[in-house]
Amino acid sequence: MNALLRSINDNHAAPLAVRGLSHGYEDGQVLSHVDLAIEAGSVLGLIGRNGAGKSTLIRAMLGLLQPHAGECTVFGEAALKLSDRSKARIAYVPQQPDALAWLSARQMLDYVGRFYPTWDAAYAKTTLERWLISPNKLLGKLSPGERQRVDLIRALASRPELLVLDEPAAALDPVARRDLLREIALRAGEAGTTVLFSTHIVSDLERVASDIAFLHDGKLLLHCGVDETKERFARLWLPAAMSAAAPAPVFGRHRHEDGSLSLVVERDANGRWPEACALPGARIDALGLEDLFVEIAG
Amino acid sequence: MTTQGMLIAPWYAMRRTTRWIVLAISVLLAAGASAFAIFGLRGAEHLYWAPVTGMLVATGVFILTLFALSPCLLLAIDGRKMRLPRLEREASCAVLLYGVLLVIVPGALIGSLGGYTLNVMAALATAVTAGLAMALLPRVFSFFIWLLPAAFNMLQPVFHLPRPAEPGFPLLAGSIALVFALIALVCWRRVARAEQPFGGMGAPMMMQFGAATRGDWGSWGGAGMDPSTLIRRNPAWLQPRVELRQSGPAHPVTSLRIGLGGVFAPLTRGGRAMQLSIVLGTSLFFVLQLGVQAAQHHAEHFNESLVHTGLVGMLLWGIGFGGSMLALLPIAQLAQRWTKQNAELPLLALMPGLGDAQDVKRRLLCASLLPPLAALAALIVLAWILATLLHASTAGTYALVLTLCGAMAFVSAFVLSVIGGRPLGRWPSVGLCLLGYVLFSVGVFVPMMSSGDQIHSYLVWFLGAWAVLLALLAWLSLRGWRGLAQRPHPFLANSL
Repeated sequence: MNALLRSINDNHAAPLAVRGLSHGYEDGQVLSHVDLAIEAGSVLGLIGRNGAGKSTLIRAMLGLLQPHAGECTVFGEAALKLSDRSKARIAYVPQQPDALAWLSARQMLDYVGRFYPTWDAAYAKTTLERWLISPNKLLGKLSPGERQRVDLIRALASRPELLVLDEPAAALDPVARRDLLREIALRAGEAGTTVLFSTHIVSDLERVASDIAFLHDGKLLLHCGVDETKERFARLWLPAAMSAAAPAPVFGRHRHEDGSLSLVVERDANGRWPEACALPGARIDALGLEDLFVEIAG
Repeated sequence: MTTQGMLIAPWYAMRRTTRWIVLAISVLLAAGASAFAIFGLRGAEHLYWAPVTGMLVATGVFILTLFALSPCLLLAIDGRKMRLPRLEREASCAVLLYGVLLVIVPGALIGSLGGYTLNVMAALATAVTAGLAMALLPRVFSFFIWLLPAAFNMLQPVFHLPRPAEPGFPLLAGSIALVFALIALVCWRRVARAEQPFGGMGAPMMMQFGAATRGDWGSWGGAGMDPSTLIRRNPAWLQPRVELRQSGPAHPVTSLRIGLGGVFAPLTRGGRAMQLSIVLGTSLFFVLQLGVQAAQHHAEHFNESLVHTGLVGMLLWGIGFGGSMLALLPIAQLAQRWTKQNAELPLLALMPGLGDAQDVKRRLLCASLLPPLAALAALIVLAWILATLLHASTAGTYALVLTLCGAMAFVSAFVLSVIGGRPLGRWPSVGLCLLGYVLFSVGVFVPMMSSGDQIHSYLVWFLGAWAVLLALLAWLSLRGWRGLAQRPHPFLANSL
């Protein structure tokens, strides 16, 4: 009965959720009242500028740091007190992974693999060969890119239900990056793996993410579907004469030298653009993800 | 090139912590040399005041050159890489300027007060050039420079080499200084122009001064150094050979030891044999050198002589020193592991099969405390057996056992403070280590003290100081224990 109840609970709980999360270091606040929940089976791309708080958010979500305020849960359990059962369902690759330098790639995969009931040793072996990584070389002697790939193999070989990757493509060459993105898409599509990954590379996000979250100055400014962003946001250009009628901007607002104004606008709950869009001379331009990112964070 | 840039270059070249340590050591050595010259030799009228003071100052000058002057090479390398020829020239000229000043200023001062100017300057020149050569030679060779004073003592009676106060000494010391200077010059040019000056065994010892360290424990024997840097630096035969057979959820403590690495990791038989042979080889060399020296001086009454006491004292000091290092290594390594957020901590925190939070804490304590404590316990047994076999004095044996027990307390307290998330700051840690080292060093002299009221009063102070140290360590342990109890799990990184 307990197992049944737990199973029902697991199925309903979001793989990752945070509520009212705030955290800071000696030099200031890094996260302010962040609320975020990731739906099972989705691929969420977390995007933000350097120092926006992406890594801190990810680490707090996984219980790798004790936040100053807020609540983080993984599969419904408090992130700081995860059971072995939940841990076995998670895989996390930190930014520039640097663990177990004293073991070779083969030893590390053998060591870690013993702890995961769903460990796919054959996958680990073949991927190591496919990615041309010497299995007997100590991890400490590998290049940062090779190190990142070994850690990605470690994460993927455990067949996780929740895969969390912090800047996974940062040290990868274009071929390895393409391989990784394909693997993420495959895992999400076929095995229903929930993926959270942070990145600066907007094209990666467009390729695999189903959802997107913009983090800026420790605040979550936007969380929605990737396709939805293209439908929901646009850049409105108003000539100088009409600029007084500009609506309150959602994000960016730039006045040009000729007095004209451009700003990002959002559809309302009924799917309508603000009234100013219908003014004579006003122009609505579609916004790509990268443009939207620049408008938000620029 | 500016004079100001040249004068300030060594200050910029040193790491921030090294600056103050070097400054403190220099002041202490200068004060010690002056105190010895004034009170020990009763002033400049003493026949050998100048050569003895000169040798003492030369030791300080050697340390100063090694740690404060040689890092200028790092600045020169940076200058070369950043295409700033002025910086490179200033760093090179600073070494030359300060090197000459370190010979001329103390040499002239001591010479004007007590004579032997040439002898003192020759000794100082040897110290400066030896310090530079040691810092700039590949690490495998630089180790042998430490042995040169002992080698001089061994060879002096055989080849009738001149002593520091004898007329032939300037020529001998000057020649040695010239050889060292040439070595230093060649090494400087080689390293400054190398494409990859920081890697491999060919890299000079000085490069370690610029290597990344974490956890406020510097690079104690490479312990506080980043493991990847350490592994890239060492040759294949020195790499750890970790035993993985007893890992997995059925063996959580061993698995945690593998996860912690370094001195905690279980090794294969081959790996253990290699580690043991390095330790025994070094110890054997040390014992042989002492034995040869003792036999040369007092072959006919080796067993009864003072040399025996000296030999035993130094042997036991060696064990005590080994024990201190055995305590510092795990502390430094653990402090390093608990500052990195992208290494072992997240891996271990999210690894299933290690048990719930309470189990993990208990098992982590076993994994981090048992290996160093077992090694120190073995050292206590070894020290006891050796002391019995060599008929060491009871007071000396007890002092050594006390030192090793103190090392155990050090490990326990600092390990608890690190994994409990309440690590001690840099300077309090340095203070505690210094107090421990002073007590350990004083303990070596306990058997040499005369009996009666004098030793009694010394012992009261000695044991009182130990009690204070142990009380501080107990407080640190308790603080760490409480911190660990409050942590939801132990794999949370400590802020730097």
